[in-house]
Amino acid sequence: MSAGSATSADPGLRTEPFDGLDRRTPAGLERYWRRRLREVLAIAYREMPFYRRRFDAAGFHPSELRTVGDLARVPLFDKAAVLAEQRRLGRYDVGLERASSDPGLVLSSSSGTKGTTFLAHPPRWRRVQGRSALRAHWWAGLRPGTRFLLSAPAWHSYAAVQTWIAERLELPCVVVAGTYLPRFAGRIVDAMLAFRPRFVTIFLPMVFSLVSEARRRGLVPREVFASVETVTVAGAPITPGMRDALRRETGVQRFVEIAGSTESLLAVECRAERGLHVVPDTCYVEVLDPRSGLPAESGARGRVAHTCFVAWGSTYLRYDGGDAGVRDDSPCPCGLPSPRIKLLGRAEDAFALGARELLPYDVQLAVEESEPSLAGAPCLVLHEGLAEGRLELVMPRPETGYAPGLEDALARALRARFDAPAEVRFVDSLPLLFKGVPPVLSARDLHTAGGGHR
Amino acid sequence: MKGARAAALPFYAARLDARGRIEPWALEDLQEFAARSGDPYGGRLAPGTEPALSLQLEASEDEPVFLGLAPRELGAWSRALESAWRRFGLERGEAVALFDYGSSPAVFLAAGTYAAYLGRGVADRLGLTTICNDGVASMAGRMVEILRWVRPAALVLRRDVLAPFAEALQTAGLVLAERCRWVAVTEPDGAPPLLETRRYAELWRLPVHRLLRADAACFLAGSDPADPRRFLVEPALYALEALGEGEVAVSARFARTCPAWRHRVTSAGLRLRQATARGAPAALEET
Repeated sequence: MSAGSATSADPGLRTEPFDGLDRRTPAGLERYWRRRLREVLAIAYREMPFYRRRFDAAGFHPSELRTVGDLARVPLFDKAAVLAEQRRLGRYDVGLERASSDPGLVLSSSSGTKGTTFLAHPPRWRRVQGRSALRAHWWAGLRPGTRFLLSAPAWHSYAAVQTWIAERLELPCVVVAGTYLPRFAGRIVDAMLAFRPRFVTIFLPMVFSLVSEARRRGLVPREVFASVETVTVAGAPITPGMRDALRRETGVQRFVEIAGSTESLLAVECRAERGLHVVPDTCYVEVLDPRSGLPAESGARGRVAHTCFVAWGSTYLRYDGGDAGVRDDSPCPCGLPSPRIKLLGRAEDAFALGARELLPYDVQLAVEESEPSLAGAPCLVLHEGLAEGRLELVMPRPETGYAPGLEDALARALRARFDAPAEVRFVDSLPLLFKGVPPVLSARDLHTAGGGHR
Repeated sequence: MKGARAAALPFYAARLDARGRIEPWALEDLQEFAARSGDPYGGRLAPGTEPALSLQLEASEDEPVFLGLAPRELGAWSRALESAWRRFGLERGEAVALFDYGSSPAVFLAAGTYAAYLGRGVADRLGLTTICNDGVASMAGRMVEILRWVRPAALVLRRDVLAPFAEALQTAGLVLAERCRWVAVTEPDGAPPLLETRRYAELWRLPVHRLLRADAACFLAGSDPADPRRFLVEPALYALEALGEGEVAVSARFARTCPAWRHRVTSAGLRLRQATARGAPAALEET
């Protein structure tokens, strides 16, 4: 990353600093990160057998870390490594935890799509991670006393810090029964109408479910969102077209993307909307060239690895969580010194089309740029088409604004964009799996998972 | 005194009889009042109060009603869950796995982490570890993974995940009794039927306890491990009164933000047995 002087903020886009860390220069932030990395790696080597073994095998000792760039010597690991260790030891705690016997320990689990791993969150983790997550929410515009609509999924590690933030800022909280899945959209709409929250955190696909639910009731979506100043969205990358569409539909001016993971990656968008600033006291983020494994150039795509600084409970150091993304080290007009990242989707969902390697995000962007009325509509790419070198796209039939021939027009635009054969098919519904609509699926799975025509 | 406080709250004011007593009420009465008045708290919010936490009652899906809570009330309510867990039997350092939504008191009272303003939850006080799996039935497979790797001593299950969880266990070939000591079953209002919990106790060959809930009155009681027809109620937290044949009303002594007076407990055929010794639990017995 570049280490220059403090950036000059654009007054209209400036982020109000949370504390002195936000006022550092990029060079000052790099010095902070170097110190934190040395600390956390030393703790890991001293107290976490999982890392000691791996560091020794790689011939690395934490005292050898002189610059942030030396982090490249620390071995990467992924979920498969944790699952293998779980099987070997026959238990969830695999030696990358600290203080996991503290009373009041709370465990959370990964989503389980590729096997379930577990994370330990002792009370000390909650305090330290909570303060760092408070910084993230501060950047997003959360302030003391704001009425806060809580997502209540106690199963997720975010729930633990969300409640901490609410207490610290003395936020009156509203909890909706159930969980954040589309079938509970009606309850969330009820709560928004009754309590008129100013700040809402929500899974991105759910915002579209709320808009649909409002329409189903004969309401203008803007009525439901009338009090809302900020919606923070997580769980999927927001595209410019989605943001524009949501602004138009809801009247909310600020949609703030948050990227987070149970393994403590955390990054948040500022008002400049040019990527998500890494939350500097939660983690350090690298984007690695998939071929060389070395840090990719600023702005180039790669695999995202992060190193978390909160060395209480499960501590993930140089963890490749399976996301594809970019990192931008250029100065941001908001004045925050930390680099920006954008997670673009799961690396495993990447596919080849013609001479290009694409992610479903690229298709989403192409769809909304070709046909703005489809911004935010979920799209699903069929494996069978890709196997034959063509893009076969399945989308739900638009609720409003459908005109005959829309499929053909969109297919033509996609063919021109990707220089490859493309087909578009509208269906009654797409399957909704745990993390929303799966971006790439086989035609057979599309039907067995509940998508297609009714 | 209570009469004056009741008169200041629209829901209760409308239910005062000529002698100034509150007519017992059920959740539907509260829902109806909320729908009619447009007040999400159903006319029960103490004047001038901004609740720290406003919780949608899980059983109020069609007509949503919210319960306003202050930190102290959350703490008191969690004592009721603590009593149940203590009777079911847990040791410091053990883990409890929860397969229910975060909006269920069987979950959010369990750990300070799960509810803003709770402070210390049951697990924090008893030195336990908790893990929650959300309440969606499709997560039964993940619950099996929790059982396999975390090895919790006890499971708390929402009634509507019993069948998918039993199926997932069978598919995985896990014997529940070899993995944990007891299961407790909960549902949004009332208690799971005894016949059903007995069936699962036989299937799984371990004790399957029951939780009786009336969230509108911040009421929670666990079944008696010695007799699953009886629910043991903490007299310091709740006042109980028999209303007539098979009907009982509960008042939560600690509820101030949304006072809970004379709420009919939704469970068929309950007989009240008041405690015979000071501090001993009262019992609600299914007839």
